[in-house]
Amino acid sequence: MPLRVAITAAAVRTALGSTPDEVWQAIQAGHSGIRPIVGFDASGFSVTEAAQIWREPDAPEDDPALRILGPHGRLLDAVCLEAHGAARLETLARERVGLFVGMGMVDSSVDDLAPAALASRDDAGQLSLERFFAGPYRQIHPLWPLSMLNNVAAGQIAIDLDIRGDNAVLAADADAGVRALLEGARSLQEGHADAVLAAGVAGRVTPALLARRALSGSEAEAPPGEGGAALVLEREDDARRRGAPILGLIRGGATAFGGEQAVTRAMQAAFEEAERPIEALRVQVDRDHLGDLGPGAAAVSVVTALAGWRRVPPSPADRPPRWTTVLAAGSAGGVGVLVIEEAV
Amino acid sequence: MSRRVVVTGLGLVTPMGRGVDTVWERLLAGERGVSAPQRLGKDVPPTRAVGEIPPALLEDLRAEHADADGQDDPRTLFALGAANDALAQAGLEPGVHPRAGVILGAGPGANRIEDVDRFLATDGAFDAVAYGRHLGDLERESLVRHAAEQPAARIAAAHGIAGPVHAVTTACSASNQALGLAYRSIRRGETDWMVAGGSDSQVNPLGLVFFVLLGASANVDEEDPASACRPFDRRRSGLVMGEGAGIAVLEAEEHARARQATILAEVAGYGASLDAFRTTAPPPDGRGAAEAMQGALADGDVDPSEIDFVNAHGTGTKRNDPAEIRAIHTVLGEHAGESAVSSSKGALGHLLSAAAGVAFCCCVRAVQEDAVPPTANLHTPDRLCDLDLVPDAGRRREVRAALNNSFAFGGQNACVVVRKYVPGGEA
Repeated sequence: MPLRVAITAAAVRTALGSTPDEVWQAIQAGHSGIRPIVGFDASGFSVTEAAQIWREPDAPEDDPALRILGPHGRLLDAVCLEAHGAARLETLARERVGLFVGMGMVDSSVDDLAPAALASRDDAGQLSLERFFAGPYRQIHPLWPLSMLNNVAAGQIAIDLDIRGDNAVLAADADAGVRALLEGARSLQEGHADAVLAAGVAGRVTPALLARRALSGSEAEAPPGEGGAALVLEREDDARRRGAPILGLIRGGATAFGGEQAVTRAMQAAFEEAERPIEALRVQVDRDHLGDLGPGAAAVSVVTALAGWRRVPPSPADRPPRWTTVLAAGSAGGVGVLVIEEAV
Repeated sequence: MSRRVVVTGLGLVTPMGRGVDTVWERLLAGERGVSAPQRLGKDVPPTRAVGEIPPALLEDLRAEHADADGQDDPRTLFALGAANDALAQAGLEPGVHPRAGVILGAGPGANRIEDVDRFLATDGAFDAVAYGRHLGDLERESLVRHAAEQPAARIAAAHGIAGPVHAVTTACSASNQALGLAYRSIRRGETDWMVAGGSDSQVNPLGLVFFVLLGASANVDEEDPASACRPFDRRRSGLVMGEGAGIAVLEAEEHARARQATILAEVAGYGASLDAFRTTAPPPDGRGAAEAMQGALADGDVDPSEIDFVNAHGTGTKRNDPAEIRAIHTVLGEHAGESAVSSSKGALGHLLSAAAGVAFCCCVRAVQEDAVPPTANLHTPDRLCDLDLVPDAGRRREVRAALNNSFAFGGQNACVVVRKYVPGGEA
């Protein structure tokens, strides 16, 4: 069965803007969100630049729901709420609205653990687990464990929107972001849901994130970025029937593993599904402007492509091609390819 | 394309040992694998009961997989061991497999308080510069060294698996979601076989205070730590942390038959839902759980009366157990009383992202052998838990189909139906 899944709403947050048009225009103008890292002294790392959204330290959160989400969980929540609101899905049964997310890893805040660590030092100033277990562990906030689960943000989105359908959270590389969008599209295609929120978000730039990138060998890629996006997906026929605006169509996709050959395999499979020759390739590349958004990259690239299609070009020659390919490669060896088409 | 999906291999690494035969026989006999924590030596965590992989087995796994870099975390080692066993049983050799994939549930990894302390000044200031300059000093098992996708990627690299390779991170429902996504991939024709299930380990200083901080940890009788987790019992008090891996090889029926593989069971349906209620508690009426169970049955066109065994999520917490029982009543209706319902968490602890993978393997054995494992530590059932909960020891009984339940903190629910394989039926 050909894949024809409509994108009927989108929302985005990146270092270059908080609307699809803002991000598109900034990229077209050649702007870059990549700057020296702020929030902590990154001079000990080999990568000292990033495309950050959060340029101030976190304020303490008293609201339990906000506390367990962390900044990138809250960002995910915000884009999902915005996209869901724009799509006007109120008439759908909430059990038929799904949620598929590609999620960057969560890292514990030093502030969460430092008091307990300090109180657990012995007379020689060394961390003593015996002391830690005897009581100082109680200085860790009781909600800290939940903040370490990167499915909790998806749960909070479900609560906020009262959606109860098919779902999954995938982590943590760029190809996981493609897979999340694809699983959402397949869920619709196979009738498990009538609408799906499909989203991706990068982890916050922290010392732990830089460490993870350095230790996995991925710091040679673009500097890290912060941000994410959410799409509302529906079967094309359903979207047309209810008069929803169709911003674009997901027509094919695949993920594969194992380096360069994986790129070829994923592309072949995605283009075969889209019933397009592979020559139609036009890869959406945003990371020179937005940084490496990891599992958020695919959704953000789709949003920028949609924004390009919506704008009236200065001349026909400036019009973006109708077909766009989103390509995402993770440091562990996974590759994801998504083929999208302008809605006509 | 819609193809039947069958199971051709199983692998288990659990607190009761390695290998499906060993674990299954011990579970049926009513044995328990929970004990006092051993890995941290003299340092005694506030939870005095844990479903820990025996230290000797962990060392065996480390030796078995020392060929890579000797730096794997326990979660990855458990996954590699269980996947190797599952693939060996399936008769699938390492090679080049572009139409195969790996999808595993994986926990967040081991947050290490040692990593924070090492770079903390006495005034509490964190020295990010020193941290960046001395990454080699970070703990070997630290989560920054081991991303969620690492177990799946290591398995794929070792066996030449080149299709979709991913990690699902929905905590306690993660491995059922991984099995479900693998099932869908094969059914739609994207892949011919998949390695799926889950692996997790939180037996580390911060992991062992995880449930304590949440107020969800079971009270422990230090004379009998194995009795700490009591699913469905009136005196249940909470969870016991466990670790391990449960992994299966799922395969297209036509592919398995063409290579004359032994088919163990059929995967007959998958359903997932969201509670949209609270992060830390299910709705009391179990509606989210019921929706996932109903989804799984409808997906495979399985009649509720076929479900002879429910491998319950059964965590032993005050709120989860009665909510799940209500959900089973809702879904199975009059047949609920005819079905055996048990939880392995009393015997093994809660294996978190691996829990449903282990339970899936038990469901396969249940339909293969017409037997159901018991609910360990169940002595006086809660009056709200009014089903056949299989106390004491396992039981021989017909099991045409089994329902594998899993529900996560955060409200993600995922259920998988396993049934006896009968050649020639319709998908």
